[in-house]
Formats: sequence, C-alpha cells, structure tokens
Amino acid sequence: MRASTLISLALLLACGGEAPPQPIQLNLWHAYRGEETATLEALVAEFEAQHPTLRVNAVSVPFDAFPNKITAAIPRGNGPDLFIFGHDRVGGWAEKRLLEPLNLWSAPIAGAPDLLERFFKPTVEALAYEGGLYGLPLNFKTLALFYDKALVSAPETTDALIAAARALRQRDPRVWGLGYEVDSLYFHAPWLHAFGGAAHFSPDGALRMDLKGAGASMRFAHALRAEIIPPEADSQLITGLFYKHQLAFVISGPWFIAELKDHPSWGVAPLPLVNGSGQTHPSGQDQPAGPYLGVEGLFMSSRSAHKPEAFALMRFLTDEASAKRRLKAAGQLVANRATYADPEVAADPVNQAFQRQVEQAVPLSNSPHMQRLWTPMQRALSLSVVEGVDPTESLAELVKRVEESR
Amino acid sequence: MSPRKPGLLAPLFALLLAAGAGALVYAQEARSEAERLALLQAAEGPQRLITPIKQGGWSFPRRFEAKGGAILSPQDTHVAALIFSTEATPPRLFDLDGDGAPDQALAARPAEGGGFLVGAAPLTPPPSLPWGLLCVALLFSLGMWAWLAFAYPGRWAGPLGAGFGALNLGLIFSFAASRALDVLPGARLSGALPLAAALIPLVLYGALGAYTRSLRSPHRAAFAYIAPAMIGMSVLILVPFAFGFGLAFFRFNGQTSEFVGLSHFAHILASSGYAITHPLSFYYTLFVTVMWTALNVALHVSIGLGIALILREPTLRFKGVYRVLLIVPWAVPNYITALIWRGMFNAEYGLINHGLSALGLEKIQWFSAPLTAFAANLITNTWLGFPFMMVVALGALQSIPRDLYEAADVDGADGWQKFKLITLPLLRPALLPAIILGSVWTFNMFNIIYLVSQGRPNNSTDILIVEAYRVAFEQERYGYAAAYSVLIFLLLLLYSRITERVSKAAEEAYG
Amino acid sequence: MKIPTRGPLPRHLGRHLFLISFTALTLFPVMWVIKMALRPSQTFVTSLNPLPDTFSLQNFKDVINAPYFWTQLGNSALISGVTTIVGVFLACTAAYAFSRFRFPGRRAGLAAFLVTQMFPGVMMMIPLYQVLDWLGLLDHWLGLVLVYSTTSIPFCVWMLKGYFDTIPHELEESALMDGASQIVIFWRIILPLSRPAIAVTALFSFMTAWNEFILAATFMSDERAFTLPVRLQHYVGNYTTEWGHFAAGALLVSVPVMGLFFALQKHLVGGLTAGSVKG
Repeated sequence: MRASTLISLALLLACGGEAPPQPIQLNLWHAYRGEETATLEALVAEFEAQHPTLRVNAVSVPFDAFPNKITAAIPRGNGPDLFIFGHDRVGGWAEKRLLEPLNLWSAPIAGAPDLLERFFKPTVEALAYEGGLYGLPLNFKTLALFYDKALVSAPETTDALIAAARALRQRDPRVWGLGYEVDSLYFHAPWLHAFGGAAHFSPDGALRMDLKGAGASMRFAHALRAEIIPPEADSQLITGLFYKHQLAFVISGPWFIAELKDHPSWGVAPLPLVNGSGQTHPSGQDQPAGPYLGVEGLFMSSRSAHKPEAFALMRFLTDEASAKRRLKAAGQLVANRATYADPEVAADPVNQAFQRQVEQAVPLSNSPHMQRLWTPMQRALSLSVVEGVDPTESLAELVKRVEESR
Repeated sequence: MSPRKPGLLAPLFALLLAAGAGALVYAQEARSEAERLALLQAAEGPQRLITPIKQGGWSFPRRFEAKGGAILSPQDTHVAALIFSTEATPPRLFDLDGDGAPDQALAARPAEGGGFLVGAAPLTPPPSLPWGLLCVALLFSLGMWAWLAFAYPGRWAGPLGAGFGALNLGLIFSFAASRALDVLPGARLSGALPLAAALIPLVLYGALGAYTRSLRSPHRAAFAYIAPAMIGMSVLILVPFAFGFGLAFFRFNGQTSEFVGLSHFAHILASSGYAITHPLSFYYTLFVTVMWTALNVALHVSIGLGIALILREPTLRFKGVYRVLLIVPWAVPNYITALIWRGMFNAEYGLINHGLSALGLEKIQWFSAPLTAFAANLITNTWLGFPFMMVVALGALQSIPRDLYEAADVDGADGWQKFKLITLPLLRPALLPAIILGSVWTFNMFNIIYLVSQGRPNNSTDILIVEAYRVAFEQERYGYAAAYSVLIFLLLLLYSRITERVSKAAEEAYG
Repeated sequence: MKIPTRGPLPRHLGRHLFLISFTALTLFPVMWVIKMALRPSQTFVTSLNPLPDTFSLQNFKDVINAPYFWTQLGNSALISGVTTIVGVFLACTAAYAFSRFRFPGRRAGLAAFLVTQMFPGVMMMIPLYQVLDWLGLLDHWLGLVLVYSTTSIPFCVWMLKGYFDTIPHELEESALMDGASQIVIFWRIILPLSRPAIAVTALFSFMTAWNEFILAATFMSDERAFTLPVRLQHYVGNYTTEWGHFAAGALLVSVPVMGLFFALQKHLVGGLTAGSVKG
C-alpha cells in the first residue's frame, strides 16, 4: 500500500466513511515573520487546494509568548493541531505529554520509502526523546563565521583570525576583530566543544561536564575578549558595527543574513579550527569549533482532534517541493536532504558554508534539564570571560547552582 | 458591629488553610497516580513488549499493555493505541480504555504477517454545556441582585430575593468546585470533590449569615456601592492567587510533582548557601529591590510633582503642548525605548559616554559595575515613570482650592512656605494612593531590568521579581518561583501595613 | 476671581526655557524611534545622531497593510474603551463608599484592593488562563477586559477615594438638606467635582489595556482577536527584531494615547475646582 493510499484510508476511517458536511479546520501556530510567513501561507494554500476537505488556519504568535501559550493551551484542549518551534524544549514538552509521539505515524510502510529518510539524520535525532519521536524537522540553525570582505578573508584557524584582527586594529583602533555575545552559552558553545568541555545531563538530571575543558575554553574566550571583541557587545551593536565596517568577523546564524540585506561586502564561512585546544581531532588537524545545532521542528499536539489530517500536513510541509520553496523564498536552511541536490542550491556559497558547518555542529540537547544550565552558565561566562575570574571558581559555583536546581 | 477590626489576618489565615488542604489532597493524588503507574508496569497478564519499530536505523522501543484485545500505551492520556487485527479490513471502532464508550480509529498500516496495526484514541466527549458563560451570567445576576437588595431592601431582600441569591451563590460554587478538579497540573483531584462538597455549605452559611447581618446593618448602602467591583475582582484574583500560593509547596518534574513543604522557603531564606553580600543571595537581591523601589518612586514623584507645579501657572501659554509631549515616554511601548536607553549607555558607542568625554570627563563602563549598572536602570525607569506621576499630580493639584493661595499671598507667604504649608499637606490624600501603588508596581517591575542591564554585571542588579522570572521561565522551576512570589507578596503586605499606619496617622492629622 | 499677574513675561520666559529644555531632553530618546521608523532598513540604529536621515514611509505602510491591522486596531480600541468604562464606573461607586461611609470592613476592603496588586503577575498567568477557560472567555475580548480591569480597578479605587476625601462634606450636607438623595448627590455633585481624578483614572485604565501584550498573546489564539501590541511584539523574533517595523508600529500605537490625553486634559486641569464651588 502506498503512502497516499494510507493517508486516504486514515481519512476515510476518521470521517467514518461519510462525506464530511463541512471542512475540517487545522490550526497551525508559528512565530514566523516576513518572508517566512508568506512562504508558509503560500504552501498552506497549496495544501488546501490539494485537500478540499481541509482548512488550515496559520496563526502567527509572538515568540516571547509562544512557550507559555503552548504550556497553557494544549493541556486544556485549546491548543493548535500543529506548531512550529525550536527543538530544545522537546524533552520538557514530551514529559508534560503535550506532544504526540510520531512513531506510529511515521513508521515505515512496506514498499514505501521511509519518511524519515528524507531528513538529515542529526535533525531527526534532535527531535527524539526517550524512545519517542516528537516532531518532524523543518529547518536547522547553527552558527557560522560572517566576515566583511572589504576588511578580511575567511580564516582557516583561530590563530589566523586573531592575526587578521590584530593587524586591522593596529591600523585603526576603532575597528574590532570579532563580535558575538560572549556571556551566552549558545555563542560560547563553539569554543566549549572544541576544548572538550561539552555539558550533558544524565536522565535523572545530574550535570556531566568536563570542567577542565570548559575552563580552558573560557580562558581562550577571555583572551579574545580582551584583545579583539568590543566590550558590552549586544546583537544591535554588533550589527551596527558590522555595517560601519568597524567589525571584521561576526559569529552568528542564518537569521543574520536577513539583517545584512543592505551590507555590500559580507561573506560567510565555517567557523575556524581552534588552535591550542589540546584536543586531538581524528584528522590530525586542530579541533574544529563545535557550535550547537538547533532544529526547528513541526510538532503535533497530543490533544489534536484531527491527527491524521494534521499528519498529512506535516508530510506535505516537509517534502522536497515544499522544502525547496522554503529555502529559496524564505532563506531557511531546510532539513530535507534532497533539496541540496538542486544545482542552484548547491552552488550557493551561503548554503555551502552552512552545510559544511552542520557537519561539525553538536546537536543541542533537548533534555528538560538543559533549561537549568542557561542562566547559571551566563553568570559563569560573565565572570570568567568578561571579568577574567579564574574559571575553576566560576565553574564550581555553576556546578553548585545547577545541582541545587534539581 | 463586631468591636474587633477584621484586618488582613483573617482572610490570610483562610487562604493558608485552603492552600494547605489543597496541598494535602494534591500530595495524595500525586502518590496514587505514581502507584497506578507502578501497578500498570508490574501487572501480570496480557502485557508484552512490542518489538521495537525499526525506522531507518533508529529504534523506538515502547512498552504497551494489552487490554481487551487492544494494546494500550501506558501514556494513555494521549497516545494512540496499536491494535493487531487479522481481519481483512482494519477495525473502525474499539473500546480501549474500557469506559464502555467507543474509541476512534486514526490510522492504520499493514502489520508484518498480515492484518493491520491501527492507531486509535478515545473519542473526544461531546461538548458540554457552555458552563463558562452560564457562570458569567450567574455572577452578573448575583452582583445585580446584591445591588438591588441593598438599594431596595423591601422588594429584593425578602425571602424570595434571598432564595434567589443563595441559589445563585450555590450554583457558582458547585460549578467552581467541579471545575477545580483540573486546576493543578498532572494530578486528578478526585479527593477535592468531598472537600468542595464540605466547603459549599460552609461558604453558603457564611455568606447567608453575612448577608442577613448586612441587611440589618445600617451600612447596606456602602456595601451596595462596593459589591460590583469586589465581586468582579475576587473571581479573577482569588483562584490564581490560591493556585500560585499552593504551587510554592511543590516541586514539579515533568508530569509528576512532589510535596516539599516549606523547603523552598527555607532554601531561599537561608540565602541559598551564599554569603549575604553575594549577588545570588536573597538578602542582597532584597536590598537591591528596596533601593530600586525607593529611589524610583522618590524620583517619579519629585519630578512628576515638580513639572506639574511648574505647569500649574495659570497664565503660562502652551501648557497643553508641554503636557502632551511630556507623556510621550509613557505612551510609547517601553520595549523599544528601554533598548534605546541601553544603547545610550554603551561604553564605546553610547551617547552618554560621548557626552561625558566631550565634557572632559572619563568614560564610564556602565554595565561593568553594580552601582553604575543600577544607575542606568534607574535613569531609564525614571524617564519611563515620571509622566504617570505628573498626570496624577496634575489631577491631584486640582483638589487644592485656589483661594488658600490667595489668602497666603495676602499673608505674605513665599513660594516655599506655600508649598510646604498648603500644597504638600493638601496633596497628600490624592497623591498617597499613587505612591503606594506605584511602589508595589515598581517592586514587581521586571521588564526594565530585564531589558536594560539584564542583571549585569553578574546578576548584581537583579531584583526579586527578575530572579523569580528567571527561575520560573528560564529554568522552569515553577514551585521555587512560586515560593519567591509568596515571599514578595508577604514583603509587600508588610509594607502596606506600615503605610497604612502612616496614612491613618495622616488621616487623623488632616481629617 | 482674577489671578493677579505680576510681570508675567520675564518670569514665564524662565519657565518656558526650563520646560523647553526638559521636554527636549525627554523627547530625545524617542527621536531614535522616529529615525528607525523612517528608515527603510530593519536594523537597530546605533548612530549618535538621533535626527532622521531618510524619510521613507515604507515601514508605516508595511505595518498598516499587514493582515488584520484594522481589525486588531478595532480590538484594541474596544478592549481599552470598555476596560476604561468598566474600571472607572465600578471604581467610582466603590471609592465613593470608601470615602463617604464608615462601615465595618472598610479598611480591610480598601486593603484588599491593594493586596491584589502584590502577588507577582508572572505567576498568575497560567492560572488566569485556567479561569478564563472556565469562563469560556478565551479568544473573546471580554476576557481581556476582565483581566485588565483587575489591574486598573484597584488603582482607580484608591485614586478616586483619595480625591473624594478632599471634597468638603459641607456640599453634600447642604444638598441633603435641600432634599437630594444619596444617588443624586453622587451623580450631580461628587462626580462633576472629581473630573480631574476621573480623567487620571480613565487615562490609566486605558493605558493598562492599550499597551499590554503578554496576556493578550497568551489568551488569544486567533489573529482576528489579537490586539495591536500583540501584532507589534510579533516583529520581535528569537534572534532578530524587525526594528523598522517595530518602531513604526510603536509610534502608531502611541498616537491614540496622546490623542486621548489631549482630549482629557481639559478635564484634568480645567473646569471646576472644589474651592471655586465652595466660594
């Protein structure tokens, strides 16, 4: 039986074999803006044209209110059928039973290609939690190195990056070398993983972290901060400086591309290899930087009243044709593998850079315990990277705080 | 009537009692839920481990319980079940949960060795009566009835009217009790039903008693004026308040919860093991909060009042233009203006440091020291907050009769004397409410600090509510955050007791 | 009564100079909002110069042409308007009783209004959602009116009570002697005299509802039911914000507030004062 027959069978079952008197409405919540919303709405309209019995109501919810709204609405049966959000809360939501496990829905069918084969493997893994698959990946996000072609070229190693930045600063002290939010774990992660300091949680919530590696990464970042990173740099300032050609390199993600619409000379490359990390890489080279891999997933509410129909929309939005449109029109780094075989897509230098970067990215853990790490880590980074406090001290406090919050 | 002052202690005690009772019931429910799950896992009989479904290299093993020919997932709240059927067509109706009602088939796929695996879920129950709207209508009619009963006691406070009121009240409470079953996440509060059943007559008795007493009371007109506002407020405040209060005694872990008594409070009050001067200590944060509140309110009031006094001059032209322009900081959404202020405080590129160096002063790294970061927050919030106080002061100044100033002029009083002896004392009754409420709001104002200093450096400019917010929404420890909130509440209650003394003294002094 | 004018020009010149410089200082940060709104770009302005360098109305057009803009504006106006009317009306009656009657539970009642403001709203959100769900008022403008009223009523009651306290009792006593009823006194004497305080509470109630977005975004799940601040917050993403749109929207949102204040201010400062009636 082919996939489409199965879906129609499911629809038939759900409708009890009778012609439905009125179309079924699916609610889809997302936090998209601009082009992303337009593309999603165009795809939804196409889906509706293919399924005359279905209506999709795509609601754009402000990002700030999104997680609370999900936690409040779904258990009380007021939630959406489907929603789009980052994968980092999957564990917590799965434990609260807010998400429908898709194991049954996405199970391979004899004679049909495996649905999950269409995605990059790590993007699917990011959405699995304790044996359940809780969403289908739409896009991925990871950090890469943006640079101003008018000032520098893409460096292979951090030593080269520092040397280029130094040279620039000697010529003009108003020009800074590197911009990123130094006290955010998300932006520090590339160094953290290069130095072997990755943080994990055991299922019962104990923090597993190589403190020596983490400390070394913080010392490394402190040296960068002291020499080439502008003080008190937040994202608005970084964008402003980059536009004024007063900033050579920026560590940022695909969302930064939209910010650079009017910038004449930007380029993007994978993050440089990290010198002096003391870690050996299988290739014998220096250790690559390891940014987090974030996955934007399409999730089904456990309380949806129209699960088969919702799943049909999930399949539709993640298939190759939709993915291609999302990539081309909305600039999303889609998780559908086949999209990148398109010669036009493959030739694009931005796609190339991010695709190479993904190979080195470390999937961000979706354990509900991860939420306990961000705030304490921000303080530790602020102490050691900004102020230069001995990392052993700040990390000891971090471990204590994380342990306390169990 | 009663010689004793009712005060705040009685409702607080009742609340504590209710929270305690709720906590006990909830703890018991959580335990029985855990027992149920354990039983399910240990149960003998038709239970087996389904072979893991292989999906392109990933395996998702799952345990299923077979029940009445169906296979039911232990996560019975939401998961579809797998049903193995050897018939030629997949079955369409089942009873998976054994409740006698049919469940709905959702999807099917051919199983290995013939037959189908079918996903199913309990059918959603038919929509019940629009209880919510009914409740609103009841509340409204109760309010109307109370109003009428007090205003026209002859017609509406007779036995018929009283019966109507009691019926209203009873319906509301039984409705609330039946819906209270799903207030607390995770647990099914079957135990709350008898509790509610016991509470309803008690509440009814108390309400009727209060009602009959108030009818005989000469104060019924006063109650009639207050009742509408009070009733509306209590519905929307009491339930969330009791809920928040109750949360503080629990620790949540996904779907399960654990009664931890006062341990959250103990941990917070023990300064979380830090020295008292450590930025993460409760007492340090409390100190910052108090300073934050006091300085903000002082600046809001003095600037607002000062501008209002300047704008008071009757012959001054363009007053309307000044007034409208000066409320701009209040009118523009503060999300954007707070971030602009933050940009102005930037050490390298901020306007303020450029101004300082233009004046020959040294640049300040605003967000690198607690004191300057606090000052940056304070300046931003002063800018945001003074227009409100200005508007309040403009209104309050109208309560002062002009002829008093004329008389003072005749007596040859100077400007300062007029301000001290006429303006300030007479302004007090109209300005004090704004000051008290303003300090409560400032105490609980989290977004400015969250946007401007973000607690930099190293959480040393966080106030209590920011800490509670971080714990609740960044770390998702709702129980701990609720304990923080309860402490904030108690501190503010203490504050209001003190100001009540002050305002009472003021009232006595000025009539 | 005529206010004596003693050499108004030089003294008022000083006042004007002070007020002009203070107003300029106050409006200074808002200049950047205007600059951002008038630029065709979506990046945050970090330049020192707050004067607009481009005059593009594209951002305003984008905000206004966004789907459901007018519906959402209507929602905001409806919700804020009803909140204002409900808040001010209920608060007036309650404040009158608190000010004019002495009854058991008066202090406790007054304190109860204050106490409702003390528990941090952050922790109230999910239970409030639950209450609105029970009441069937999620996705309904009435639900937001109820919620906003709980914030505005306590302030309104306290503010009005404080103002009523300053109105001399003699006025009512003489009216009573003329045979007026309590209700007539309340409507004909107290309320007109309290216009300044009512204007303040009206403005406050309106602002409470007008600029709030977190609760509105949580309780409303249909773009046709959103309020304008929800739409505005929508320009703020996880990593980036469309600053041009946000700034334009922020200015659009603040215009009605200024308009309302302009309309209210003649009540706020003009008209009858207690003294002139008495005299």
